[in-house]
Amino acid sequence: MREVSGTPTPAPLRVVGASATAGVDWETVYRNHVTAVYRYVYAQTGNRPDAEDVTSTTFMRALPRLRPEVSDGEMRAYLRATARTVLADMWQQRHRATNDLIDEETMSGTLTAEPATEVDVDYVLADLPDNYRQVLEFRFLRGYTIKETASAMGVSIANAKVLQLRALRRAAAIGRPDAPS
Amino acid sequence: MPRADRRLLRFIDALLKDRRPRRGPAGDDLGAMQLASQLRAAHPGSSEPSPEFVDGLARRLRREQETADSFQPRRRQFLITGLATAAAGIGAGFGLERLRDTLTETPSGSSLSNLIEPNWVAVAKLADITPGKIQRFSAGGVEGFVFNVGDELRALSAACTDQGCILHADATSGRLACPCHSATFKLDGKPDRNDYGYPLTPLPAIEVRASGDDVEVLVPKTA
Repeated sequence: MREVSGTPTPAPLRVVGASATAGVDWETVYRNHVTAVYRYVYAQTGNRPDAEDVTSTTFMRALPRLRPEVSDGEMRAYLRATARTVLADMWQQRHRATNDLIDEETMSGTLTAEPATEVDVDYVLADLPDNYRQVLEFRFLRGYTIKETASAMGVSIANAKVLQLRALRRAAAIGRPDAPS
Repeated sequence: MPRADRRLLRFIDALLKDRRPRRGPAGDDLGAMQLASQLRAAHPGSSEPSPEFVDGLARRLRREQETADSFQPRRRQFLITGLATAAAGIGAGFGLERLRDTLTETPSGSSLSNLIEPNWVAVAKLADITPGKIQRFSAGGVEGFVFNVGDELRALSAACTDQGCILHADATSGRLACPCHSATFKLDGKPDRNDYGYPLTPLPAIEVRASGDDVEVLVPKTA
């Protein structure tokens, strides 16, 4: 998707389709990266409206600011860093934590800082007790309703509701020193 | 049912219906909410962008580009206005020269400083950074610590590499401690206490130098 010069020095890479007068063909860059950015963002938001908003903002901010000659890898890194910033803003604006977690002084740094660390879902699930793992698999991976989940697990609907909350909190805390048990 | 439970249930319901969750404090459930999002994304087929979205955003970008083309000088202006975003990304835990290492995907030998304009900023007086003292600074969107180890100046990002909480310096123990989940880091940036089930990445280093009476760090230039 790009031309690489044959010189041994750091090769200036340019996007195919860029013309001398119009600069980079942003659309080519965009199409090359949009799916990866969207997938990353979706994994942090878990829903389509937010994933679309964050992806849009990421490209609107990042694309015009990139130097035309950057490599695909640099482009990916920069888009990822921009997406993280947009995500962090979203989390802070929407779920501004009260001071039960952190004090006001650290507030700005806490949520602006980073979206969640990427986790290996299989790893997290494997570490849970069976009923916790099952409820998360049914609800999130298979998309069962709470009623279907309760039925599949042979528990009441009220039980299934509570179970999914406990499972989620336990999973989120896996390995943390203050993990609830 | 406790309020926190109702809040987390509403959050889960929104995700499973592919809707935007309501605004509201996350309380202790920030991690649970983020994990729910990640689990949801593991649902097969859920995390692909729709062709309509991809095409719609392409049209928006094209319009933006056409508007931008009518302004001169273009590149320079964009580079400067873009720095706030880049700086925030760096403040989130990336050191200038470490971004490439952190993301590991950059094939060429260049770094983020090719994308943004770096700038040396004075953040402390040299005389104040005595051995053992750890001083916080905030410059160019970067939160960091500067200190003196064996008469060598060093600077590290102050954002925990777990969830980005701002670390506290404990000069007595020579550790940087996270207020959120009790992780600590040594002054070489390496994670110290590791009660996690996964290793934390080291704190990114920030370039630092002595310049006259000042201690300067290399951070993105802000407009």
